[in-house]
Amino acid sequence: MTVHRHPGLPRRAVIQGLAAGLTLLVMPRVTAGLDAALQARFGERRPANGGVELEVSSLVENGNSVAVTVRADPSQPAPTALHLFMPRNPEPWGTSFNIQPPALAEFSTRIRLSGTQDLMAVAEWADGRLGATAVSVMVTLGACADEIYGEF
Amino acid sequence: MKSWLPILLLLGCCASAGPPEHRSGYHLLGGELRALQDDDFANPGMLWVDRGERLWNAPGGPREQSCRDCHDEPANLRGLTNRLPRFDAEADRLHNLDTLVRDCRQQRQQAEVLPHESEDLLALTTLIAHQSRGLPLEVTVEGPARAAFEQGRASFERRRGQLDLSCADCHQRLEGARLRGETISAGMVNGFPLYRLTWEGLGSRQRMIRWCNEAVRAEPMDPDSRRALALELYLAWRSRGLPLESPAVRR
Amino acid sequence: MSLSARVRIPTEARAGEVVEIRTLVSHPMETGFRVDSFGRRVPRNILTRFSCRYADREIVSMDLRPGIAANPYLAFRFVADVSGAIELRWEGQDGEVLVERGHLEVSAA
Repeated sequence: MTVHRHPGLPRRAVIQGLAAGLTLLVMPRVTAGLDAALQARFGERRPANGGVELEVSSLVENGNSVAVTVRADPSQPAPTALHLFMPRNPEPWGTSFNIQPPALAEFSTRIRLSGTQDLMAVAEWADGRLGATAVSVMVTLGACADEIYGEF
Repeated sequence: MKSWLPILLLLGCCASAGPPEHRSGYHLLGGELRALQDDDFANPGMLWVDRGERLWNAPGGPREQSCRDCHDEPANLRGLTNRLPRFDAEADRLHNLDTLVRDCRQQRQQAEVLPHESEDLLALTTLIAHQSRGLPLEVTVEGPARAAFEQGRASFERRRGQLDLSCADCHQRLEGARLRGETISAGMVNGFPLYRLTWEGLGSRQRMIRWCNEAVRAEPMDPDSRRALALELYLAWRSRGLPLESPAVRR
Repeated sequence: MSLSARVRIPTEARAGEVVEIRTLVSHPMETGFRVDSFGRRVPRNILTRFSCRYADREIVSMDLRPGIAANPYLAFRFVADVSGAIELRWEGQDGEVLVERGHLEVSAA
């Protein structure tokens, strides 16, 4: 049996992260669908890394309802909006949450995920600056999950 | 042998206390979905309980009667759902929660009959089932119910559909095994009516039976038929001892 | 199911205290991307906007898209600073509106 090895993969780091039960933070990766969604929201601006926290299970039992919490980094000035993108959904723009004081820059909701993907949360500050965090979420597929049974 | 005695005694005690034979589907959920079911605010099934409370008080039919006019508080029906289906000797038939509510509405209230799986019927049945939350399932399968019970057991064992599978093939013999990303459940019915993420809505036990039949490519049963109600009685008996969880949350 | 909400709105707080609002709305949030068993596209039917006014200020607004789960859940927090009315408002794509109201009484810290 041949074992293929991928020298580029930071496997040790990935395994250590999973073993520790940590959320798998990933570098925000911009796919074509996501880029179009970012373009529609932000024009030419693109987010830097960080400034926002994204809480979500790394393993999801059913993509129809996934709990997420998006929270601005408390060590930075409060942003005016928090955005959530699901790059592999038919519509990658998930939601935008606009904040005015005395509201805190955080919200919790439940979203749909059409499959395993890297969720991206973006904080937007009044000066136009953007910061992003991405989290890898694996969506498992149950038995008999075929669409045709969705009706009844 | 001596060292085994306390364990045997312990097992004996448990057996006489009638512990549930199977585990609720709740234990097959991950932490996030258990938390959703346990959160009486965020559990989406509670939207139907709320709607049921509004309907409970709404007058209907030619005499403008509401459920409350006869039954007073919904809490008076605590202890009903966990004993269903039950055999009505006079009518020589089984009743489940749906047939009781539909018949009451049609015959006593003389209002428009509520279609199966309609939002209004589910709202009322979920409100009523919710009153019995925590009570153990205990259906009567002796006496006049015996024939229906045996019919239900035979139905549970009978292979069906293009996949040629019986209920027992999966939910008894393969219980706990993996099927793609899913763990095969024991087929317990103590959570119904429940909120299923696959449906993004509520469903009754009969909706789940229908869904299962379609999944093995078998002809779905009429939810009012004798064989559908007999199967539900057998499923409720298999779930005996488990606490009622409605509105449960399932995948 | 007809549009209705479960809401948890705080009624009392000390000035400076952080309080939470939780909401759950009955709505299918039909994406418009699904087809039924006859291959027909199920038309989109979603709520598009949520907003919260507190003491005559809009403190939160949210754009809802098809990626928000059916029966939308939302929780958020704010600092109680003055006594005032709280108004939660949902708007649907076809102009339907649902409003829930409360009142927060704020006492000196």
